[in-house]
Order: sequence, then C-alpha cells, then structure tokens
Amino acid sequence: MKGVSKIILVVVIVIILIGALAVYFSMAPTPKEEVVTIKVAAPAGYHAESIKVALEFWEKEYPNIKVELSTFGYHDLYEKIVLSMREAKAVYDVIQIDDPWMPEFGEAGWLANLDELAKQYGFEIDYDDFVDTALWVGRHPYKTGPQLALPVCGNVELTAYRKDLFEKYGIPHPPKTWSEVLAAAKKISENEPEVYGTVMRGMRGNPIVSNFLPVLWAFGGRIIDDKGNAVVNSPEAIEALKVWLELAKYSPPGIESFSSDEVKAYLYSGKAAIATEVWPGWVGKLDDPTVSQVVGKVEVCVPPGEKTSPAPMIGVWLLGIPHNSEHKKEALQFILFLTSKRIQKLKSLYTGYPPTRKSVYEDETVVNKYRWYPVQLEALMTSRPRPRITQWAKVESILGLYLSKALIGEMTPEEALNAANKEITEALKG
Amino acid sequence: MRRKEKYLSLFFLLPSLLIYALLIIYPLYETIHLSFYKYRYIEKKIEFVGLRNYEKLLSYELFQKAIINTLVFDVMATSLQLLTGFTLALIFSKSFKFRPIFLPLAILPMVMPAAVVCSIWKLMFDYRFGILNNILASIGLPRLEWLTNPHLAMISMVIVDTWQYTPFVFLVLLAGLQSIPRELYEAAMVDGASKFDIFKSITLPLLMPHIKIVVLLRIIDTFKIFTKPALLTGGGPGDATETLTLFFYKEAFRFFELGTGATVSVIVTVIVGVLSILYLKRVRL
Repeated sequence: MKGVSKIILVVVIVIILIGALAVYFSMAPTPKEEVVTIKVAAPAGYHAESIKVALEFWEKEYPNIKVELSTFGYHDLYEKIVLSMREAKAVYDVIQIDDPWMPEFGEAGWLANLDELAKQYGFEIDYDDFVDTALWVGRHPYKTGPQLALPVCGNVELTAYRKDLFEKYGIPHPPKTWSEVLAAAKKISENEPEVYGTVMRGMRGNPIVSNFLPVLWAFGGRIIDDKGNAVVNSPEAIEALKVWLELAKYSPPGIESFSSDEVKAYLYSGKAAIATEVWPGWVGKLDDPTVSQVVGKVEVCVPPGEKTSPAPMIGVWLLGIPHNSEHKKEALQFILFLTSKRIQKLKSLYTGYPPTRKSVYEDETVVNKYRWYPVQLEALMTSRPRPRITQWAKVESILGLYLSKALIGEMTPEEALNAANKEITEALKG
Repeated sequence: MRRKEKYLSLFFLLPSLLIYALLIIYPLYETIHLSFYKYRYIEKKIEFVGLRNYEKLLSYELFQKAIINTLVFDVMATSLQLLTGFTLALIFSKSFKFRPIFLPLAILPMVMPAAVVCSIWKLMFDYRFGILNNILASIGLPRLEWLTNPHLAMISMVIVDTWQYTPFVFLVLLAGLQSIPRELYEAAMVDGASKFDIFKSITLPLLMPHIKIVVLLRIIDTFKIFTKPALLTGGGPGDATETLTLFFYKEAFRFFELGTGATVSVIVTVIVGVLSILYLKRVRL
C-alpha cells in the first residue's frame, strides 16, 4: 500500500510541475521593442506636479521611453546634478536648471548642444514661438552662444497690488515708478490700520537679493558692470537701497525672515496692499475663494521702473541634457515634448505652470483662466537676467548678507554696499 | 607565551582597526590634505595654497562670527536641555496618574524630523499670526520679533533645539534615576534625612555618570546645529544665526569650494576635539 501512495504522490507532483511550467511559458512576454529608461532630475513642488501631468500623456504616446522622475529641494537639486555631470557616467539624462546656474554649467562644458543633437537625430526645434529673453539665458555665452537648454518655466518677477485700495484713495494704478509705490504704501498704511503698505521678502540669501534686484536695476544700479567689475556701491545703488529700505518700513514686522510663504500669506489674506515682488507660481490662486480673501481685488503688474524703464528679473527654469548622458536622443524627445505648445498649455491649465511660449500666453482658454497672463508676457519680454557669471552663488550670498545687515540697521546703506562690493570684488577674482 | 597572546589579540583587533582606518583615518587624512588646496570642484582646478585657506578663513569676519555663534549656541542649548531634561526626569521618576499617557508625549519631539519641527516653529514664531505672540498679546505683553531681532534670533534657535532634544536628556537621566537602588532612599529616610539631603547625597552623586555622558553627547551634537538656522533664518538676520555647519555647507556644496570646505571641517574638528578632551579631563568619566 505504501508503495502505491508513493507513486501517486510522485505523479501528482510531476503533473503540478508540468502544469506550472506550461502556465509560466504561456505568460512569459513575447519579445518586444527595446524599452529605454531616461532619468529626469527636477525641483520638487509645482515643477514636479506639472511634469507629472505631462507624464500622463507621455506614457500613452511614447510607451517605449520610460521616464524616471527624481525630485529634490532647490539646493539638493543643484548638488545632485553637479555631482552627476562632474563624474564620468551620468545619473540623469534630463536635468532642470535654474537660469543662474547656466554660466557655470556652460563654462564647464557640461551640457549637450541641442541644435547639434536635433540635427543629428532629425528633430526640429521651433524657436520662433519661445519668448526671446527666456531662450537667451539657455545659451552660453548669454544670448549669442549655442542653445544648451530650452526654457520650460517662464518665471518672471511681477508686482501685485490691491486695486480696490488704490482706487479707494485715488492713487493711479498700476504704479509706474518705485517712488509711486512708496507714496501709495504710505497713504494706504496711514489710512488703513489693518493693512500693511507693502510686503517684501527679507530673509537672508536668495530671497532678499531677488527682492532688491528690480529696485536696484530700476535706479540704474548694477552688481557687475560690462567689464566684469563689482559696482554695487555706486551712488545709484545706494539710492536704490535707501528707497528699498523705505519700502520695507511699511512691511509687517518680521520681514527679516520672510520668504515666499509669508508674502503669500499677507497677500492672500488682504493684509498687505503691495507685494513688491511676486512670482507667477504664487499668484495662481488669487481668484480662488477657497484660499483667497481678496478675490478680484488684486491686480498683477510689471514691476515699476524709476530712472530706467522697468526691469523685472527673469527666473526661468530650463531643461538640458548632460554631456555624459547615454540616452541623448530620448532625452531630447522628452524635452521637446515638455516644452511643446500643446503640453505647455495643458500644464498651464492643470497646474498654473508658467509657459515659455508666446502662443500659450495668448491662448484664449489660458488667458480666461489667468487674467494677468498678458502682463506676465510683457514682463517676461522686458525682463533682465541676473549677472551671467560663474560665481553667482557666492555673489548672491555676499550681497544677501549685507542687505540683511542694512535691513536690521546694523549697517547704513553705504556701509553695507561698500562692504558687499569689497567682498564681491574678492570673490570675482576667484 | 605572553608575546604570542599579544599578537593574537592584535590579530583579533585587526578587522575593526581596518574599518576604523578606512572610515575615520583615511577621510580625515584626505580632508586635512584637501585643506591645503584651492579646489573649485566644478572647474576641476586644483592649486596648492599652503596655509592660505586657514589664514583667509580665520580673518574672515563672517567665519569668526560663525565660531562665536556656534559656541554660544552650544553652551546655551546644552545647559537649558540639561535643566529641563533633569526636571522632567525627576517628575517622571515618580508614578502619577497620567504618567503612561504623558511619557510617550514627552518623547514625541525627538522622533520628529527636523524639517517638520522647523516648519511648526516658524509658524509659531510668526510675528502676527504666531501662537507665541498671540499668547503674549493676550496677557498684555508686547509681541516679540522671535526670528528677526538679531539679539533674540539665536535664543529662538535654542528654544527650538531644546524643545526637540530635551526628551533625549530626559530619557537618559530617567534611566539613570531608575537604576538607583530603592534601599538607599529607604535607609536615608529611616535615618531621618530631609528630601533635599536625599537629593544632594544620593540622587545627584549616583546620577552624575549619566549627567556627564549626556552633557558630552549634547555638546557634540549641538555643535553640529544646521537645520534650524538653515530653515528658520537662513543664518540671518545679518549674521546673527550663522553657524559653522551652515558656513561649511555653503562653501562646500553651494559654491563647491572644496578646499575651503575642508578647511572649515578641520577647524570644526579641532574645536570639538579640544572641547571634548578638556571636558573629559575635567569630569573624568
């Protein structure tokens, strides 16, 4: 009896095994076209959100190119892509670049020439539709060099103000000069005890510098002149800083640590009359009653001028391909996809992501949703980039420190800018 | 025979010595080596500059301020954490009604990520909307510029760090308190010792080893303060909260000046090393 049950057991096992193998082979995939995976590094937050929207379409249209998206905080992203490009083998095939990083990457020869790639693989880049100023920062040398990256996020600095309050006190709007802004801030804060005249970013580092630059430029000041010398202590710059400090007096207490969150909080709660510096990503929900207490009351305008015409600061993000990427063709396809008119429009409609193509800014459906887009396009077209130098990170850090010292009154405007100029000169020597 | 034993013990030590050399000695050597060079990582330019990095840094005002700030922060934070942690440990060493509920709550801050802690505190410190100022205002006190008054900003950092790391001190000291034998207290009470005498002659001396070690750990850890100034103030206002690690981070990973970065690390290592050795000599663990 024992022998029989043993035989039955063996037979059963063999049958099960054969069955399992048959099922396995019938399920094994038939060999398909090769699938390529490209790795993309992008900043977290609204940038990543917009890419995720685009990816839903990408995955349907390009099933053979898988995209692996890694997102990082601002400084982490810089660190990661620098390390990736510096080494022999690329970690990323597509990287998103903040425009001040371009001179450094361009100088190091780390980015592939997009025109050459397009020629090699038979793609066409439709340059006419892009906003020129955004294209220029993607070239190295600036404006004249080869295109090393395509602009994907048309960020530009804007000014936002409470139209209802301007009208209530008979102040002409939009303000054309910083002096007008100052006068308006004074008048409104004197008459409206609940509202601060201005709200500005005063946190040391990038925020305070970004906030100050448009004022500096409007007064004709510069950080670095055409010959590459530091000139941030010029009389124009000192005058600009004095006006900027005056503007700061009408800001809420604590602006010395304000960054985007605080500015947004004051703007959306209607507690500030003028936000001297806002970015497209911050104002997208001003007309959304669930988050905004000032629906329809806030107007966005091109930042004012003063001695020169307005000079909004450009802050576009670009997409580039590291020189050491092994999937340049697929990377270029992805970049062309993300910057295409159709996808830019979708990203804008779904997430409010600022486009870089004129046709999207002028698109009727898009403008219906974001009424300030014509202004944004105007600002972008007249915008100015930060100095095109490889040492910008350091220069910004130095200027940020001394502006902060001037803001807390530890130094006079003259002392602060003289000290900054001295250190920036030192930093430029390398 | 003895010699053989000695060699044998050395042989058994070899693996850990190798790991130590690989993970500690070699990087340390490389860092010191690098500190004599000017090395811009992005441009791949390396140039021997001798002691010039040290000279430049030590005469740089912001760096001097960073050293002072870090030391001030270290002393303030460590002492405050010891005080609050000790008090909490004394409270929790007795059993009381809601102890099982409060104990995990008291430890909660320590397990939270620093970035979360900073976001919470940034909201609480806010001049207008923050809960701290709202409380002050409701009892008729003036609102404070927690993060933006240059004299107050560092104290605010200390408050946040204390809030987060008091539980660590508290846990170590609580464990210490619970390891003191009950009999000692009973004997003292039989002898008619007062509560203060018991604390002074039994609790404190027997807890001393724990206090010493926890203070050393906090001195070293608070020296590395980074997230709080980086996220709450950016080192500002002015240079009020610039710390050594923040300075190091900017040099090494934002400007990619690896030579300068290495120099900062060497200086930090020397300062922490000297402090620890002095401390160890003094307290004799």
